[in-house]
Amino acid sequence: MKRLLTILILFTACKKAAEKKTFIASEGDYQYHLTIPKGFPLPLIPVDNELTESRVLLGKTLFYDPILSLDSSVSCATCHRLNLAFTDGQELSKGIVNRTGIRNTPTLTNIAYAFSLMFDGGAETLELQALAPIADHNEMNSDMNLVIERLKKNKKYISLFKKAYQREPDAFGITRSIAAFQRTLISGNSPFDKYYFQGDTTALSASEQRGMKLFFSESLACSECHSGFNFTNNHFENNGLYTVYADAGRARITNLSSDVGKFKVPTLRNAEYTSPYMHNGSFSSLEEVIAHYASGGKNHVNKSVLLKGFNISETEKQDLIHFLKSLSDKEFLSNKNFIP
Amino acid sequence: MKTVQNALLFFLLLLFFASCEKKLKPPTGEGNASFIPAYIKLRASFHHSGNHFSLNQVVNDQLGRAIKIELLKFYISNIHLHFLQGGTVKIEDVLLVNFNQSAGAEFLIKAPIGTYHGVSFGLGLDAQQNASDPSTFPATHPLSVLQNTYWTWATKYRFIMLDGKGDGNGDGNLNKLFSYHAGDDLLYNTLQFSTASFQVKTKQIPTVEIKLDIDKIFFGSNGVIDFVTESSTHATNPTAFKFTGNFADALSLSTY
Repeated sequence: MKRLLTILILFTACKKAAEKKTFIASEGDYQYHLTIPKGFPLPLIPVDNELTESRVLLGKTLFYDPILSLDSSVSCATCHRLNLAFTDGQELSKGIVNRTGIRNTPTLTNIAYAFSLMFDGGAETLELQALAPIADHNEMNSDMNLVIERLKKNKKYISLFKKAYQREPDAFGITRSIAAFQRTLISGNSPFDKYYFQGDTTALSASEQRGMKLFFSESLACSECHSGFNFTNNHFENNGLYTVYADAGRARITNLSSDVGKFKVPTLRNAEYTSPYMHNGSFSSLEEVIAHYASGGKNHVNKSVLLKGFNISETEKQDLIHFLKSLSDKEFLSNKNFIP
Repeated sequence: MKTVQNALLFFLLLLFFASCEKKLKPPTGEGNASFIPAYIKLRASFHHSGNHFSLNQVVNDQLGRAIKIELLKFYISNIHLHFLQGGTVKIEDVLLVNFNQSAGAEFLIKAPIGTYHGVSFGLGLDAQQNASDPSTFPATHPLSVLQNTYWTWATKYRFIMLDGKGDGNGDGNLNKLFSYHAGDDLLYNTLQFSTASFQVKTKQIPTVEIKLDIDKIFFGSNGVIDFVTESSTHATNPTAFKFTGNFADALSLSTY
């Protein structure tokens, strides 16, 4: 009787779990259940790349596999490490044979909500962006023909591609699946989220609350650019780092002189873990970043009008840093769903 | 009753003649009902000082410096034939001329039966083609990512890719690398060529030959591109515009 009861309980539990899954007939697979944090909108999912369990699994497998790089030494995860909020702690990214890239590795935190990708906005979708590091000389320096040839020789991948996209390994499945996995990297359970979106008034310390007030104040104007639930306006701004820019930034894509020195405003979520900062990793700490903005930055014709500089006390600076650190989501940084 | 019958007869005759007249008209454009497919052969060839020239062949430029071209690919798109009687017909959306592949410079294309006296095409890709996602095309498609023409960092295509080496300092060694890659919506040019009249018939496949004169690429009407001092372009800069302009001028067309 007892055994029967156990089986019955197990069966009910399984049934309940199965009920949560939604089968997408057109994709022949179960929908991937994306947990959207309170206060967050639904991310836009392309119609040709619905999130399914098989696609996310394939994307995750590829993300961690150096098979994509020419000498099979570098994977996406080499530069995008979970414990560093999918950054690498380097000033500039490192690729095969220790080649140095031209920019700092951007975080993948909440990348599903980005309007454009890379510091210069060179790619508008995660699917297109996935092609860039594979081909980049300083990153994987690979060739899609070679990658596909390798994947087609691998029984595991043949099966994963078939299940995810009903096709052999190809560029479509590679780019779609990596994008699908990246769309699952959602972070929205930081102390700030608990305080602001989930109503837990004890989630932020007094110092963090003072820092939050400063952050959203008109005098500091941090939130003019780092705005919204994801702490970015998704625009390109020149933040006065240099009078002459070695890296043209957004102008590399648009060829407009008015875009010289403009880079995408990054999210500040998990910023505690994404140092060094700026497009070239030129600031190693949040203290240096605040000092730069307090100074008002260097003169440049394209410098954002919002950079006017400000004066804050040492205590206020610490409050601001405490607030920035309250955007860290520890659950995200150790989420086992994000590793194979 | 007879009047009604006469009117009906007149109407039917009118319809009959109207349809005959339609059939006699020359085709005047895309999607024309009288598109009866035959073929043309489109061939691209590479020339230097009036002679055929192939990749990796060493020749002298106009300043007497040895050069060789190691990679040459370019897109032509929206290819139209011009009917002798007027009007045009589109016969192909896009082709990738790739001298690095044995079959990359000759194409058999369906074309409607007719008499023509001109050809026009775009050098490069139009804005819609240039905005394509290269991972969505089959492997052999000209716009597939596997053609290695896609600029992944800028998410657009390179319209023309020309790489090579030259003897920049006269020491007898081809040790100066040059690389000209150009691609941007602003660089798209539509070129129109008048030709001697040629016929496309069921059992007659005329050849349309696009000739590229290497000399004119470096010493063209848009200016000189010195491979020593101006050895590369990988963006939309003045060199890219000069290179693309010269490249367009370096193309000529003949039929046989």
